[in-house]
This record gives sequence, C-alpha cells and structure tokens, in this order.
Amino acid sequence: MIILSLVIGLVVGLTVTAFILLTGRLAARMYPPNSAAWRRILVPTAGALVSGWLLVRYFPNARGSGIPQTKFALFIRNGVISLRTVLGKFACCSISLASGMALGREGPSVQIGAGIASIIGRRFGLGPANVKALVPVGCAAALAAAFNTPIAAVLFSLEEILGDMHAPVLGSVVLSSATSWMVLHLILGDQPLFHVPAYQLVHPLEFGIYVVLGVAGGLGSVAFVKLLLWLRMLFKRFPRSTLWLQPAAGGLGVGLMGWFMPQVLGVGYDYVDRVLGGDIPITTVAVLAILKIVATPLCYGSGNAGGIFGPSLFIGAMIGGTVGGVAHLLLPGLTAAPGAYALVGMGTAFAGIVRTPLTSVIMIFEMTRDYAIIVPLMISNLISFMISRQLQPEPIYEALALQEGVVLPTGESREELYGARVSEVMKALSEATPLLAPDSDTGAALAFLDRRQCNSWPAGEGHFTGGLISRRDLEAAPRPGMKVKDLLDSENGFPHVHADHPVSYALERMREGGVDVLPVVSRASIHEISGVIGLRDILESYGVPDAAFFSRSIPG
Amino acid sequence: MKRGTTVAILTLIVVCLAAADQFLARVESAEVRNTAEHSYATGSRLLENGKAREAIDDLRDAHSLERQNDLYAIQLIAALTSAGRINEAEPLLTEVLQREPNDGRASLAAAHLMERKGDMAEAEAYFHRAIYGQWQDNTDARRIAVRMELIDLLAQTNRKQELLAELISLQAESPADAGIQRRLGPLFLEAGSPARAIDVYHAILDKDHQDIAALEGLGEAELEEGQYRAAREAFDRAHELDAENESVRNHLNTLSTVTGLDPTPRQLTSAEKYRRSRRILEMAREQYGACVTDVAQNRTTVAAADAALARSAPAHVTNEAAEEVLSIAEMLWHAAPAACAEKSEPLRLIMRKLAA
Repeated sequence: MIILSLVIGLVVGLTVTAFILLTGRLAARMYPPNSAAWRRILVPTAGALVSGWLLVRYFPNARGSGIPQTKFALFIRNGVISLRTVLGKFACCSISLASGMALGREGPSVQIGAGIASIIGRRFGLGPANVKALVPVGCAAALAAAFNTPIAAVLFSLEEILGDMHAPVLGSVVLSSATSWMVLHLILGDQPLFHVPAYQLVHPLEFGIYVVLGVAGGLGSVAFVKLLLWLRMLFKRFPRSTLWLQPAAGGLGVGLMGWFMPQVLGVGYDYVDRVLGGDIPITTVAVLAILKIVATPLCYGSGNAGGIFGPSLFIGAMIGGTVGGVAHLLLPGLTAAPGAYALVGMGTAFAGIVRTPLTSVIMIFEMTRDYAIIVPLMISNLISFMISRQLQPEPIYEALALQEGVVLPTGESREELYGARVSEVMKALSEATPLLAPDSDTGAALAFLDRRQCNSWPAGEGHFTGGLISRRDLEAAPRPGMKVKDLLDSENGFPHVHADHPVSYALERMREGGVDVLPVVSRASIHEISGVIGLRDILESYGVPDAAFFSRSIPG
Repeated sequence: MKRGTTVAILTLIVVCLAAADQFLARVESAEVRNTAEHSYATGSRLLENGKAREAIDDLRDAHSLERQNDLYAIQLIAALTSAGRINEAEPLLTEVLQREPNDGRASLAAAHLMERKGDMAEAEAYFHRAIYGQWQDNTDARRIAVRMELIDLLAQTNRKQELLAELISLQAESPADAGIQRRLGPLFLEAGSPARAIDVYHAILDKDHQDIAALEGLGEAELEEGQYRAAREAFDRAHELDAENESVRNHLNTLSTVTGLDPTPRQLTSAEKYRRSRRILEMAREQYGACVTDVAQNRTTVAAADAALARSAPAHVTNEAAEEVLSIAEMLWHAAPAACAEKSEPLRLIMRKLAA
C-alpha cells in the first residue's frame, strides 16, 4: 500500500501538473488578455459546443465538477472509475477551461486523480475494498498538485470525500499528497499559487470587519449555491435531445459577460493574485464578485465540465477585496490593505460554498504560512459556514448528487455510520417479503398492514418503490376505496434508509417519520429498493422479545 | 506477467508525463517572462515620456506576472509615485524594502516617494541609503547619479550646508570626471563656496584653457569672491574666444558696474570713496523702498539713510565720512528681506565684498 501510494502520488502529480499547465497555456492562446471582444464570445461558445458534444457522445460521466462523481464512485461503485472517464474528464475540462468557462480545475483534478488511483489499483489486481480505499489517496494527490497545499489536500480528502477524519487510509493519503506536491515543486519550482501579501492585524477593530466579511461571504455563498442548484435543475428539465447544446448556453452567457469584463473568463487565478496584491480597483472587484456568482452557476448548470472549487476562491477573494476596500477607504489608519481581506475572503467563501471549514482554514494558513491570520480566518469562516448551513441546509455536492437521484452520505450522517448496519438486520425483498401493490385500495392495504403486524410498508413493484404508505395515510384517505398509488407523495420523497446506515440511524428515522417499517433503498436512487427494515427486526437484533413489541406497537 | 506489464506501462506513462510537464513548464515560463518583459518595456517607455498614468497598467501587468522581480516592482512604484498615487505605492515599496532592505534602487524609489510626500528629511535619508546601498551593475555611476539627484534636491530647497557637504563628497568620489567637474562649479557657487568653485574651474581650464563655459564660470566665481581683476581677466578671455556670447557680455557689464561702485580699492581718493559710498546707499535705499512697503519697519535705519542722503557732501571729505555712509547702507541692506538681494546683482556683490 505504501509503494502504491507513492506511485499514485507520482502519476497523479504529473498528470494534474500537465492538466494545469495545458489548460493555462491553451487559455492564454484562445483568449489573450488584450484580444478582440468578439473572440471572447466566440471562443467560450465554440468550446462549449465541442465539449458538449464530446460529453454526450463519448464521456457522459465526465460532466460537472468531479467531486460528486468521485463520491458517487466511492460510495456506490466500490471506487471504480473507468479510464474512459479519466480521459474524458481530462479532454473535456481542458477544452472547457481553455475556452474561458468560468469553472475551476480542482474538482476535475480530484476526479482524474481518483480515477488514476482506481485504475492503478485494479490493474494491480486489488479487491474492491482496497480499490475503494485508494480513491481518497488519488484525491489528495490531485488536490496537493492542483492547489499546492498538501496538508489541506489531506484534510479535504478526509473531511469532504471520505467524511471521516480518522479513516484508516490516513497514512496513504498523506504519502500520496506529499509525493504529488514534491512532483509539482520539482517541475514548477517553489512558486506559490498566489503571491499573498504579508498579513498583519492593524487594529482590534478589524475583528469587527472580519465579522462583516463572514456575513458577506456567507450570503454570497448561499446566493451562489442556490443559483447553481436552480440553474442545474432548470437545464435538466429541457429535453434530453438538447443535452449536447446546453453547454453552449453557458458558453454564450459567460462570453457576453466577458465582452464587458474579460476578467470573468476562465479560472481567474491571475486576477485573484492581483486582488491579493491590491492591484485592482474596488469597483472592478465588486463587479467581478457579482459576475462570477452568476457566470459559474450558468456554466455549471448548463452542463459544462469544470469545478466550483476554484470559482469559490475567486468569489471569496472578490468579496473580501470589496469589504476590505470599503473598510480601508473609511478607516485607512485602522485597517490592513484590501489584499488581507481578500485572502481571508477566499477561505470564507470556500467554507460557505464547499462547507469544509477545517480544510478552508488550513488551506489559507498553508498559503500564508502566517499564524496571525488564523483568528480572523476562523471568525469569518465560522460565520460564513453557519449562515450557509442555516440558509442552505444541504451541502452543495450532496445537493447536486441528489438532483441526479443519488443520495450521498453527508459528513454529519457519516458520523453515525458505526455499530450494526441496516444490511445485517433488513429483510431482502422476496415472496415472503413483497411490496404493497400500488393498485391496492385502502381496505386491502390496511388488511396487508394488519397481516404484517406493522403500521407502514413500502409500495411498489419489482425493485421499484413509489414510496412508503402508513396506516395513518390510509385512514386519512379523502374517500374510501382510493388506490395506494394515489396516496403516495412522490414529490417530497419518503422516509428511507440505506443498507450501509447503522440500525441506530434507522430507529431515528422511524421516530422522525412516525413509522415502524422503512424501505432500504439504493444510494443511486431512492426508488430502487432492496428490502425493508422493521422496528421488530431491530429489537430482535438487540434481543428484545417479540411479545414485548407486540404489546406496545400494534394498534388495536 | 500482468503485473510486469502494468509496471512497464506505468513507467512509460511517468516518463512521458514528466517530459510533457517539463516541456509545458518551459513554455509557460518563457511566455510569462516574455509577456512581463514586454509589459515592462512598454510601461517604462511611457514613464520615460512622462506618461506615468498610462504606464501604470503595463507595469502592473509586468509586476503581477513576476512578483519576485524587484525591478518591475520598483518601476511600478516609480510610476505610481509620479502619478501621485502614493497610497498605492507605499505598501508595494514596504514589501520590496522588507525583502531587500539594502537595495539601492528600492531606496532610491523610497527617496522619490518621500520627496513626493514632502518629507525632505526622510527623502534625504533614503537618498543616502541609495548611495551606500547595493546596485547590481554600474555601481559607481549609479551612486554618483543618485548623489547628483540629492544635490539637485538640496539646491532646489536651498539647503546650502547639506549641499556643500554633498558636493565635497562628490568631488572626492569623482575627481577626474570632467562632466561632474563642470556641474560642480556652479553648484559650489550656489552652495556659497566660490573658492571651491574657482579651484574646480582652474582644474577644468588646466585641461582645456579655451573652455568658454569654464572661463565664464571662473569669472562668476571670482566676482563672487570679490576678486574683480581676476574676474575681468576670465571674462575678457571668454569674450575674446566668443565675442557674440551675450551671457559673457552681461557679466562684463555687471563687472563694470561693480568695479565702478567698489569703495574698497586703496588708490581711491576719499572724495571718490565717499561718492561711491553715497551711490551704494542710494541704491540700497531705492531697493529697500521697492521691497518694503511698511514704513513702520526699521524706522531708525531708514531715517538715518534718508538723513545721510539729504546731507550734501562735506567740503573736506574724510575716509570716516565715507565709512559712516557705507555702514548705514549695510544696515539697510541687512534690514531688507533676503529676496530683495536678487533685485540688484551689482549691489549684492558689493555688499558681499564689504561683509567679507
């Protein structure tokens, strides 16, 4: 495993470095800084058309950021990512980013890294569990090379990808991250990704301004996430036949913005660097923050290949630059230069959008290597994180996966993945454990529940479930004789668990839903049912006698 | 076998990727460097042409592409300073000075910035740090150029003592440089040291005795020193070499006026000395009247001057009578503001000689 981690670190480091350099050089040729305005419209539109066609025709799994897809592969496909997906991600993102899409390169790098790790693992004949364990190893290596922050890369892999800070693969993740980072340094030298200004807290009053920055960053993050999810949903409603054309809408949109403000095109790290150096006027910085909050969701929502990791840093830098610029104008003697706020703003938006507060603090700390920044950074990040969690409860990657019908475990839910699993207690669907037929009327359904001695049961056919029906629903039916399928609420989802959940979590869901039986569904689709788990089954697994259960839970 | 093939393929991929990365990194490095150099050249050209505001964008581009390049940073600071954007230049300068505290160019940029801010003491300190700082090339020439810049600043702000100190240092550093010697002459005069100016001009004339500018400068210095005969010799030689030189002719006219007023030659009769002294007093009174409108000021001195001028010449003129008139003229001269001295060059020269 140690050697494999080193090899993965080496290969991923080299690949991601090539990816960064290639996209950067191509972008410099496709839309040079002082090029004609028409070019700034034509290039993104044409690039989006080409990559859109490639995505539909050859690489359907290379669409989007790469991080939800990596988690999907990790939790649902046992860590399997195909070579075709890796090649597709590399090619489509290179085209997309080089043509000026306002998307990032880190998310795709993570998927490429995870894919390489998965391919290497399988080529060496490792079993599914070991291949799965290599995915975060590849992710960390990719992020270390893409962002030049090896510690943050390790944390991100554990905090966001695995959701487990004590994962047994920690050693391998650290090794691959360090190897990849060394490769990057051997090739590019000791050049930081951003040239950050020397940070200093000029006056204690600045803590108050960092609170304001946290609020601004949090609100900006929520606006960004909500707009992105809404646009993604909007584009998903269009006919499938337009799938290849949809990215062009993003290309055209960002091109039109680029007509007036070329800085909005591409990854935009050059401009982040300039804001950190205080080289861009405050009005431009403010306009760029707003434009990027619109441009990235438009590019992403329309189905272009590229990440949101980089744009979140861009937006944060611009929000920070604006807040810092205003503060410095009003209180020049009491505040640091706007660059310092831009730096903290990067972490703030990252904590608000990606929702990995620990990674964001360490990432900015790694960039500055300055202890003095930690406290302001933690203040802003925490406020942004709390606002974001309050106003947008579902984290962005989970929400995006959910839009695809995939239920990814969140960090919070994964904390509960301990103890006996649902898979150990559940009853698989069989003739003895059938689904309630959707065409049954309420009377037949109540009789079904009586026979099963429970107050709820999933309805459906084969391995497809339309939802969970309860005695309460049946008794509250508007008219007698109604069909079960008419009572199912397919719009708002239904209580369920996944096979990898702990039984304690199933109990919690039963309590919340007021039911005593839950469907056990696939993470890929909540309508794909594999079995049921009942309160009685759980109690039996804990050794509680059957009679005791009967006496309390079955209604008279 | 399968594992061996995988290892071979992986090795091949690593080698290919490493080669591709190296190639791409070189391309990127070269492109970034070229772009930065181009922006720097464009910005520098604009700055040299006095278009500091236009130069800022290009120089900022160069600086943001290669932030570790102090040359680009310093040129950007220079443009920002010239454009009066001190607030933007200062943090950048602090950064450069923190990185390279002994850098001559950075110290010079700081001196310009302080000069622009009006903080002359700090500006002078930074000029000295620049003079004794580190330069990457042409160290001696650059140090002399910086000192010349400091000298010009001191001359403009009329700080004669500091100016003289710098001139003496400069003379010691570059005794053989004809160009510098040529500049030192008038500057020594400006610093109030005509004797040193005379030495400088003699040194120039030793090498080229037909140097009209040096002859004219020598004449001025001798005139300032009160050596009118020597001054005339120098001006006459210059006039012989270039009879059309108007400046030399003007100096000769001034010299004639001064020698016609000079009351100090030994061979003068008491009557002539008295007549010249009275003329000097008339000029001093006239100048005072033109400069000072407030009659309440120096009333006693003015009354004494007016009384002396109202008196007719005594029948028997003595040397003491002439000295008395000269004393009143000197008092009146010193009572007038310093700016009055500029009004009459012959009177200024006479008063300088009398004070010597």
